[in-house]
Amino acid sequence: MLFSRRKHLSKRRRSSQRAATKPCAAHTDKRTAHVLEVSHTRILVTGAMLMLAFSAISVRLIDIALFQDAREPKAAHATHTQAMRMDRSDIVDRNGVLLATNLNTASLYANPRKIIDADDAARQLVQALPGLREAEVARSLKTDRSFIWLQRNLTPRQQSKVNALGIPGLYFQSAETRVYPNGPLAAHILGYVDIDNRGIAGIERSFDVSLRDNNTPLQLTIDTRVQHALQSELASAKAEFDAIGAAGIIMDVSNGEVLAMASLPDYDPNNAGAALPDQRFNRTTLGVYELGSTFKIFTAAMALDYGVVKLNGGYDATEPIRVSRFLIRDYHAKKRWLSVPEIFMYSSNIGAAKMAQDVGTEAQQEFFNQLGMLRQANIELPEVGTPITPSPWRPVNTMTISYGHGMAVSPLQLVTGVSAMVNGGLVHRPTLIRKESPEPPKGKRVISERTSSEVRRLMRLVVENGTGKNASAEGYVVGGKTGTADKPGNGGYRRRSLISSFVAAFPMHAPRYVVLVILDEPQGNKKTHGYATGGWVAAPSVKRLIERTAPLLGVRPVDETSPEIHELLDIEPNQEGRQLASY
Amino acid sequence: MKSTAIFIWIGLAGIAGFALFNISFKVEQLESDLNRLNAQVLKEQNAVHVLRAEWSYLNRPENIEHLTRKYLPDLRYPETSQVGGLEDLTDPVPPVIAGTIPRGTPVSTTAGRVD
Repeated sequence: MLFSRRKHLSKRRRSSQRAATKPCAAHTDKRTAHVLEVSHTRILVTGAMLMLAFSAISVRLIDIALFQDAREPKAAHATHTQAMRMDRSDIVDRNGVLLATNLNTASLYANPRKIIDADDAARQLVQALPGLREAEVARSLKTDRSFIWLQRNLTPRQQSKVNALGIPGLYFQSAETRVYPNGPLAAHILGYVDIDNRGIAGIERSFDVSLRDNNTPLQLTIDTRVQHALQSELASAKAEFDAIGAAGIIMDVSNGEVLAMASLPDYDPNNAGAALPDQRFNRTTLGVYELGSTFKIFTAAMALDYGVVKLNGGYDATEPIRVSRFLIRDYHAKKRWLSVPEIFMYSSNIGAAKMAQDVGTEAQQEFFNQLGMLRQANIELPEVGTPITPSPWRPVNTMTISYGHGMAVSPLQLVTGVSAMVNGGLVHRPTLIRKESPEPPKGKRVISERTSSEVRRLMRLVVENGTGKNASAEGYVVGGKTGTADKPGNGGYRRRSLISSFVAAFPMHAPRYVVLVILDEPQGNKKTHGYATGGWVAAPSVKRLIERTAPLLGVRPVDETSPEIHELLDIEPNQEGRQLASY
Repeated sequence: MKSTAIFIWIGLAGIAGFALFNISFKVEQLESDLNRLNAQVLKEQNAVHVLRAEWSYLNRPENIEHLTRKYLPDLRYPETSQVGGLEDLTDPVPPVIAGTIPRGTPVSTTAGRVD
């Protein structure tokens, strides 16, 4: 446009030169007007351009100042407080006591290429970290690599010592470590993790994924105080009777919750790598044992429930029974007719075998099937043993199983079964995970209320008058059954190597907890007159355990001679008209 | 007249600009404060977490038992006869706050007696 204007102008100039005769003033006026017009236009254009530039800058400024944050959610990020998040959530007991947690620890590594004097560095390092060996450290610091772990998980004190050395080429890496503050307490339940914090045993393994994904603590049914009482009583019994192992369980009969479960020897999950296989072995769930006479609880219960014998009925136990190559005889032989309560009280194998014979093989199988004893226990642990059952299940097996030989189950399965026998006849799934549900679990009926009440009377009788007197914790109305089984070995049974156990329930008039103590190969001592049977070695532990834990569990001691308890636990006279119970 | 209006507009724009940037900078300052506080909160949470683990470690039953044996050698497990409920108390529970009972008043407790 400007160019055409100039063209136009020059045209005019030429025409004005041609018209030189015209007055000069008019000519000058015209020129001025032209110049003015041109400059005006120029200013306008320049101004418009500047205006455009400035408005662009303003728009951008407003955008940056006001709207920039809206596009990037920085503000939204900053306004809420982030909760601390660990790689693995805590495990707590039923009262919220910390059993496993993750802590940040520093691990020491080196870049050998940046180490100036490897020998000197090694010498200084060994002084700060006595766990390291100087020659090894020096050798690894001389290699031509750029990364070498020196020691994982230093304590804060060790870290500051290493820092104080001021050796170049040493670095720390912060990482989370799984810590079990209670050491060996409940070790077999908790399990442990590998160096990368992956659960490889126990609850740590079975809940590995949810422990890693979830940041809320996992609550167990374990009570730390009860667990400790169990572990310390087992340890003292194991030491007293020089046993090679021990196991114990305390279960709530109303819902199958395990309050304490321990297996000795145990280990420290903080240092699980140092544990021997025997220490890591969980005798309560992974081990399966022929548990001996404690099985007579089931034999009596099935016989009474199927109605093959009444509580005042009985069997002749004068002569041992010979079946094929087996000889079934009594440990505390009475050599006479015994009533059902007497068979139970004196733990007569002959009586139990005859009772089971009357029940029959199929009915017995079905009964144990209902109790879940023919398959693996259904509990939240990966270490679960498969029961050993006879195949084929011959009548002779039926007879030996009646007193706990020829069939091996885990101690947990025994406790689950006994809970169902005393709680009114309902079997519950054993559990280690606490669930906050308002209504108690329903359970599956295996025996009638009436049979359960009869079993309670029988178990009470054992503690009052029978083989389990040593378990009588005064005031807690303990009932139970002893079990002493020869351990199998070399194609037969080994004498003198026993599995001695005592399974108890308390308070027997309204059972709340079942307690089991098992000792593996206990040796009798002077105090037990050389006996290593369940009644001598396991029953006293059960007594102390109940005395220690009942107040913690809110079980109040009662007057055992009161008429109400008398009525609930009194047993019918036998056929000879003799009152068996002392009250 | 015209120039007055222009001055007013320029003034207003200046004030608005100043306010805008002032607020913007303040928000930035507050944000950094908040971030700092959040970092502090996380640090404290971590410290509490460590203390919780330490508390659990020091309170492990084994340790308490050990300390009890060391410092309270006469303490024994309670007898069954020593276990009772609140309703077993014949007298009301003595007040907890000291000084409310005149000196010499016999206070009888039926539970928790240690020989």
